[in-house]
Amino acid sequence: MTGENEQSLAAAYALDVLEESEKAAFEQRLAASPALQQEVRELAGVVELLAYGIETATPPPALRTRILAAAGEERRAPHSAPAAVPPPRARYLPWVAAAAAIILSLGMGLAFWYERADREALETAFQAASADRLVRDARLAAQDSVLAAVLGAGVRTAGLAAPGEAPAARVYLNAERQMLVLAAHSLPPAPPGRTYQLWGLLPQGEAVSLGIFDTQPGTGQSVITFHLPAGVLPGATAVTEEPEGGSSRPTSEPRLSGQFGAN
Amino acid sequence: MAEPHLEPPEDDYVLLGRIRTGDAAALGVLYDRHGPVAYTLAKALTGSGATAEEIVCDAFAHVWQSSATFDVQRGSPVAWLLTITRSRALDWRRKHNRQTHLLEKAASAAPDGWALPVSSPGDAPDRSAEKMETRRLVQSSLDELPEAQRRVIELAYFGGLTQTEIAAELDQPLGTVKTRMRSGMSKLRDSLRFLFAPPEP
Repeated sequence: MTGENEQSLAAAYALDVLEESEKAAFEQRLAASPALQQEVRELAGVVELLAYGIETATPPPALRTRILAAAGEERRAPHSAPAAVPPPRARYLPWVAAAAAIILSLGMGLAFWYERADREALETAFQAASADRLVRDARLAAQDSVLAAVLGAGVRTAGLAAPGEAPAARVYLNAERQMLVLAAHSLPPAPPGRTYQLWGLLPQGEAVSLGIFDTQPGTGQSVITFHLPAGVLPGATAVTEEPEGGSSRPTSEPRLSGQFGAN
Repeated sequence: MAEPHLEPPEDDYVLLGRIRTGDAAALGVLYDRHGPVAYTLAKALTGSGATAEEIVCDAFAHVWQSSATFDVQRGSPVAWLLTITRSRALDWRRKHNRQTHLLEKAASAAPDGWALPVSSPGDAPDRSAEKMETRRLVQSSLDELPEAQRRVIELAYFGGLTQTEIAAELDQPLGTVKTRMRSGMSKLRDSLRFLFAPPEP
């Protein structure tokens, strides 16, 4: 439990009014104390909400146009270099959204997330947030298992892409838990009467069905867990489009595929 | 067979992911969701609609340019946006407020404070039921705060005043200000906990 003085410093820090002279020392204590980090996380959450207590003002319609015009004029290169990792300040999130958001962020294809060290930072943030008293809830068990499957040691990951295109999904293979998590982030839903099917490709060349799935219309997203049959450890996975209900064997060329790299 | 899958979020993290790929339409959606509250905040802090527009424009430009560096662990995209907005608005205040270090009487230091008490629908341009509920809950939580605690938080939030500056402004001991800020923020955290809790299944 953080002391009262620390709590008041944390409040000032969250409100972004901590004196400059005190900031460095406070940030050092913050880095060393998960309890203090949690305090700051929660108070930052409060500060975020305070804006909603203000009498609403309507922006002029022209503002939207202006913002989009400015964005359109800019040529942005796709980000390639990993960004520096800021100190973990995971916000206090509703857990269904958080679990899926984290997994989809992992699926977005940022080099940033692929490095083991970064995944550990994410896991630390997840652990710290899970320890919060207000988050302990039996329903979390389901989300915990998905994240645990994704974040576990030894998890292998692969982007799933169409030939020559950027990945539309990412899979995480947790051999220990016999689970595979698929995070599709830009895969349009299958046409009516059709479904997507995920296949595990075994070293012998055999394709084993892992299950059927679909994505949300409008967003092309889904986070889906698949159970791996005993003894099945695919070296690669592929997605095909099949008739509704799936097929016993792939009936077409893969829509997406990807090989698990060495971790 | 596939396990039942999680609710796919159509949330801000996903939007930000699209923004990273240069999807301007996603920036538009982010604006539709959070532009109004950012504008509200900037206008309350600067007292000027025109200035608020500049600040919000800058904030979204920053999101557009820096989205690749946004870290999920840092917090939510809207928290990031509002932090940028507030930071720029406070910078503007410091630059343009001739009385930056000559603090006015408490009553006028934050002329556009929180809307208290909870009023009738009035001019709620954003008719999303969820946002109205959020507003209602935040406003009633602020209303329930002891006046002294709310005043301290108000000066920090709207005025960007440090605890020392607040103590000078209100002519109170620093220790009292610290206690009031701590207690007030703690009370707000408790009364707003329903906005943090996991959703009902």
